[in-house]
Amino acid sequence: MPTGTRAAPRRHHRWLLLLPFVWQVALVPWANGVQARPFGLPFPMAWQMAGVVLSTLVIGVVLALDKRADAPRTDGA
Amino acid sequence: MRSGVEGVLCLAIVLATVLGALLYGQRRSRHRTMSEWAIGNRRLGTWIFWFLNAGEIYTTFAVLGIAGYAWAYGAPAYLALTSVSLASAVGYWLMPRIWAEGHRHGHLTQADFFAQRYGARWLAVVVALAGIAALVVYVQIQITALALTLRLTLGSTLGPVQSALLAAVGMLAFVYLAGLRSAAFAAGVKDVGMIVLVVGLSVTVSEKVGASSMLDVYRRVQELSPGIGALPGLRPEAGLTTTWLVTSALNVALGTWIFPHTFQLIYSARDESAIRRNAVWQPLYSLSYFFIILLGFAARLAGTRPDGGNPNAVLLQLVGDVYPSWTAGLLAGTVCLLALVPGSILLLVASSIFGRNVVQPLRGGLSDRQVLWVSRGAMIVFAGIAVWLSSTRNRSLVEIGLSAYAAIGMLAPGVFLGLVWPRANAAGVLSGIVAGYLSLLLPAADAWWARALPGWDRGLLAMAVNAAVVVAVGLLTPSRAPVPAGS
Repeated sequence: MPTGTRAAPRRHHRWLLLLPFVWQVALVPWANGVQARPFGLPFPMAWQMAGVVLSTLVIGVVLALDKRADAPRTDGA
Repeated sequence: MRSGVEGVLCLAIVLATVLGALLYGQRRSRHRTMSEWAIGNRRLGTWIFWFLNAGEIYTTFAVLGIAGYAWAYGAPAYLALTSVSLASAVGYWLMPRIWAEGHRHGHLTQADFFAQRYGARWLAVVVALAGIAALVVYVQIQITALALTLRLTLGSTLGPVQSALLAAVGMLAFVYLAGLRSAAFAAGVKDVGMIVLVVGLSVTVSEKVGASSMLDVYRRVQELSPGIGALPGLRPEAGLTTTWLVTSALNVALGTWIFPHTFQLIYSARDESAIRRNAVWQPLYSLSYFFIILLGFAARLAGTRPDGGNPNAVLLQLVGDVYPSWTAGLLAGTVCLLALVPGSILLLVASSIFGRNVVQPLRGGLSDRQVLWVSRGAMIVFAGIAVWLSSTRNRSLVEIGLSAYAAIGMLAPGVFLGLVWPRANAAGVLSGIVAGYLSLLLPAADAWWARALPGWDRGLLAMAVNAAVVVAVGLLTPSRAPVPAGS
């Protein structure tokens, strides 16, 4: 989403931040109906916990990609 | 059952922490300016920032509220697991933008952001009052929890209103004596204390309630109460469906960073990378809800019967029933801090906004010192309103929390659109706020939503109405007027 005239580094990888929403929101109606009990836990709960781990990974990856995008052009403001 | 040990330990923990916090704050700073008091002079490093921010998550809402929700409803308590990571993903994108704007233009409060971005001082007054309203609802959570803990620990000679008043006085005393830096210390103590306690309780609770392991607690509770593990949980008539979870989680995620105190927390960070790194680790915090939900489920296995069936009291009741009194005392003391510290930070923020963005613009010519005193006076009024709110209706902490998010959601369109859409303007933001409040508070609107979109979080719907109005007004306004903030 270009918001200004400033030449910003490419940030397409930021769209990855939508993945937690897909996992933890969009797929809730499906996860809620699954009868399996991983480790004895209710599936919808295990699903949300896996989503938490996924979110941390995704945000970590985006941070790493952001750092790489920023690195060559530190000339700044 | 309630022995003296419990009360003494509880008081000792609270007093020792407050004293330590005061000494810490005193050593760190001799300056009593508005900026030091409110945002620690923009010099808080990663660690303090992280602790304060985590402290926002580890509140009574999280511990007493979610455990109670798990006990009363079951699966709807997963909301806590859903909302934190979504909020972090939003925050990763949003927080650095807020920080950069604040840094560039010297904002101290959220209303400063609105005043500068929309070029309208009057809008800042409206935003400040709306923000304060949401904060007062949030303080209500802490007062409700602190009052409950005091009542359960110190004996029921205290009436509900008296204990709520006592809770408010405690918070005010803490703020008057301290400031943000002292609060950071106390927040650290309570976080460590709470983690130790929650882990300690979780490890031992299965044995206390006749299960062989933590996972066995989950297994048994699903046999004892079929339906507890999936939405809509144990009370389908409450309407806590998948739609409810999805819409509530979205509303919480979008509203989390819009609270005025979160804005000030973001401003207090030293740089953008401290904020970004924080967003990476934040979701992992929410995995600890595994233990909180476990404790709620364990209370079902133990057949815990809190006074009046009040879900907020379940955890304290469970520990009081099956643990020795020193454990109950430790828990009560830590829970007091858990309510006291965020409650004081919230009151502090509400009053500094009131002084800076309501009093100063309306009554110019007051000195910095006079404004500080007026803000401190206003704090008493805010605490009073929170006490009054907590005494009017007996609600679960999670419900009160969702109301606070609904209230703060009224400012979200102005923040998000203000950052990404140059055509968003002051008239639009004001119309959006008015439309949002109407769709949130009008009984007729409530009935309409219930028919048209059953199970939807009202806060999210009101936010959508609000945003649609901001966009509509922006499109209808000739485009030459507004000046974008960013470029």
